[in-house]
Amino acid sequence: MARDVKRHGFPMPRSAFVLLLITNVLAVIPHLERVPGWMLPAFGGVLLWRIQVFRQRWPFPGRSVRLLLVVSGFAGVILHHGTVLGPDAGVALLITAYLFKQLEMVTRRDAFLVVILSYFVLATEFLFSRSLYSTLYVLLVLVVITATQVALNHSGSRIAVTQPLKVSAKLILQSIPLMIALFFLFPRVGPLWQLNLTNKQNFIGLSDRMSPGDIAELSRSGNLAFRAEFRGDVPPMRDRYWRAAVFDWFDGRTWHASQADRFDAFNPQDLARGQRRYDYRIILEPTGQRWLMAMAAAEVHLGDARATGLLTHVHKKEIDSALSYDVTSYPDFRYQPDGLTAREGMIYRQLPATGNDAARRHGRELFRKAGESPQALIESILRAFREEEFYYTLKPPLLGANTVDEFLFQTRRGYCAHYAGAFVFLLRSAGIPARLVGGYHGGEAHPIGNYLLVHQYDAHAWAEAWIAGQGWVRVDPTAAVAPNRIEMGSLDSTSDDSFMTDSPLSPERLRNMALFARARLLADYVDYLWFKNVVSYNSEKQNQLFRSLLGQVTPQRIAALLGGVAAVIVLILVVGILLRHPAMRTLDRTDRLYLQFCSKLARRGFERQPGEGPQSYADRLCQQLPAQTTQIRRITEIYLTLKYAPAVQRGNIQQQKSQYSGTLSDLQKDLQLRVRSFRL
Amino acid sequence: MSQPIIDRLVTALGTILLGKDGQIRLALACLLSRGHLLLEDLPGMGKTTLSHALAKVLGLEYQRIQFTSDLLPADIIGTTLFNPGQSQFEFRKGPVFSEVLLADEINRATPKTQGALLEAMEERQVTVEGHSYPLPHQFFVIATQNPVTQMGTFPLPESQLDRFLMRISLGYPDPKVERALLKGKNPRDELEFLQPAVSKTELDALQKKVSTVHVSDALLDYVQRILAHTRESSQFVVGLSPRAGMALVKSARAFALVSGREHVIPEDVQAVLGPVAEHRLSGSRDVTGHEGERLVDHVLKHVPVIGSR
Repeated sequence: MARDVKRHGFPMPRSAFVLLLITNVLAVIPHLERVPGWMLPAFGGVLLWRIQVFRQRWPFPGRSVRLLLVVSGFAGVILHHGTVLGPDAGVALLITAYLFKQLEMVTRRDAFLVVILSYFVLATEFLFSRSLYSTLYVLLVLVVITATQVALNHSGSRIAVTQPLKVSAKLILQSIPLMIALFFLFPRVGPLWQLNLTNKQNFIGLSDRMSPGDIAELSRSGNLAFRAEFRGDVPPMRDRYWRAAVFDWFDGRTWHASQADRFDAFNPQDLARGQRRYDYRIILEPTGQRWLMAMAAAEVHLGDARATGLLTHVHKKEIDSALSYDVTSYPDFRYQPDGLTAREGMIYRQLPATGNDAARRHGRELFRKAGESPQALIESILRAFREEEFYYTLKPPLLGANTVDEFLFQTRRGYCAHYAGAFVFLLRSAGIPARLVGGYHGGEAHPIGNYLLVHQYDAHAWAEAWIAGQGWVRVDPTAAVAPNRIEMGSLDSTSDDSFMTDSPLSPERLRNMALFARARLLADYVDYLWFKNVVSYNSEKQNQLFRSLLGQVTPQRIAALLGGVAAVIVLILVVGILLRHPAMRTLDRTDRLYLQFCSKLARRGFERQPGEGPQSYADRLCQQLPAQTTQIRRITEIYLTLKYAPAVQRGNIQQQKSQYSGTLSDLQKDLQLRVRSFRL
Repeated sequence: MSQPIIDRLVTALGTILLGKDGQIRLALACLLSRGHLLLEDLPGMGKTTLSHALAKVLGLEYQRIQFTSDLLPADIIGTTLFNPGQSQFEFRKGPVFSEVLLADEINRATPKTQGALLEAMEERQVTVEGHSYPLPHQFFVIATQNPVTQMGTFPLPESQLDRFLMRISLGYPDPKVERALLKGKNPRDELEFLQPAVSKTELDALQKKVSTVHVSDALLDYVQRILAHTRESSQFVVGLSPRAGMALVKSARAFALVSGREHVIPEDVQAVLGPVAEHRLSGSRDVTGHEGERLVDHVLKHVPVIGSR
């Protein structure tokens, strides 16, 4: 027998095993896109092996096989991630260990360990996503894991899979009020240790350099970049330039983000605000960068944000989880109209020493033709883009060494980064300070909530030129080539079918179907509300809540509040249990006394089955507990007499055997005394 | 007062049917509550022996019919014959006009013949050509039958099974008893020397006593929980009828009396539940007729003994 357990494990109930398999699959599913590719076949193999062990076809793997598996699993994770630290590699390692534990699940204790590990693997999902939908998924899997635990406790008896599921669903539902109370009320203490969650590979979005191809990549991503929730009107399309970063250094091929935001603080005297203003809140998805999106000229109301001299805002550290902040924007502004410093003048006229000679000549020539007027030069470049054979496409031909030359004079096909880049290059050739700005443009107005959804495919690049007396002026060369792109947003403007062929089932493809579009927007709205009201709940908001509930926040009051809530929950549970068991309410005194006696015995492992009569119970007990025979017999006799004998007989029994006179309550008192004094 | 008589009966029967105390008490309880008894088991398990012993011990006059497939209703009830001497028809009573009718292998007869007997059982009288003949004051049918799966049987329909208060199986004897049998002790030989253990008046008194056994409200609650369970649980194809409920209480009373108590406790109900309910609970899908055992186990396990209604 013992050998058999060693080969095939302890006799696990079939339903528990089935639930455990489902648990395994469900707990790992959300991580599949993150873990190394070899894990999927390894996962399948391990599950197959475990099933065969359960069917007693194969034995458990031997020590050397397990050692080999663990070492190769560890090596596989390191090869894939280069490290075992950080969330991705850590989770991959955890899942590897979780998988291989299946192959050592010999005893019942091991099975419980696997269940506990399942909770842990499931919880790591929150390192990556905190959306409503992943929360709901986690709740669902929680039910399955708990059901596995319930089923494991049902050793021996064959039960249907649905029964533990029902029990566990009930448990989870009952725990939800407590969950909510703890979430909102339990004091939030800062973490004692912190994982460095930044992992730039994970984030899709703007990067600190912009070379041909980058924005086209983004254009194929339907991921959300951020949401902007407006108090008042949503701005028109022409104002929706979400500024993130300024690119000022060109190496002949790639534009690099300005380093100036590190050094140049924003000087309020440089800015003249207009009258119009927009008040809104941005809910930014994690970017892995420090830039905060906002419409220029913005005031970002966030403690950890800093305004820079580039009219951008940066966060104190990389944004690796969703962040929300309030912004006030003044679209009619003038910035640095009086002049640039010498250093700035140099930076914004920078060009690489060599290369793109034709473009340089062309810029100087246009400037001469325009009568040395910056405005006229800008006009003439835009006119050229508009009237000559320039095309807007997201699949431009590849460019060689002199990207600007080739673009301007040969291919003439490109998208915003090409046009804006070439535009800045031409202006700088003519000696006019100019820079490239990266960010997003447009956004989809949400029909239900008063907010805009800005997706990665809204990523955009435009230019800024400095003109004496006017300061920095925004120029969007893409508008000259593809006015639709600017007027209607990125999706409606492109007729290029290749845009979406990459993934035939992408949400963008389905976007044109009205019903689906509505469902998608509704889903986003729900998720938005979730984020706004739940995920963004932090210690600051908790303090506000405490203040509004308690007036003054002291530890005593918080403790009193928590205690009060706990008491209410317990009270509800007690009332619920009483209501759910009408038997407990309507039992008479005699029955309650007898059940007390039964539960005393049950605590010592002599439980009475619901269908077991008092007499048979007593017979069974007397065999197992010879020392207590007299007590047990007497209590049973009194109980049976009280419940089942006619009143006359009750009188008889009392006159014979006790000092009480023959009334019902006296016999009951006798029973009570005996039950109270009954000891095992 | 009644206990010595009962002890006498049990002891007397125990000398014939060794080691079957439980079944003997159940059979006695059945007859004391004036119910008909169906003994079902494989051939050679002592069904016939028990039925003969019961009749003899109770001091009742009995007749035995071996049921076969060519047995006709008239063979049981009797026939009307022309008496040439008196020049008139006269009714000649059949074996049914006895105090105990031992119907051996009742399921070997055709449904028509079975029907004739079962009608007599229910009405305690026989009607032939418009004339009713009452059966004796004491009238029991102790029928034996082979399991339905045996060859050449006509299973009794549910409505007729209902006429039997209890259905009891004897089961194999335990090794000690079997040893005695193998050594050459033949219970049938001892049947001949068996003397009645009760007088007619004592038997009457005992039967009257059954209806005075006390049934408390708490016990009726338990019975009603059982009935409700068979009607509500998805396990059951058909629930127990009110008649079955009455049979259950009546049998439990008799069993309490046989066990020497003057009030019924839940264990009495549990003891008679199998014999009383099994043959009534088998659904029509049930081929072997023994689905009932599983269902009764279900009731015993799931219906709480203590609790409200």
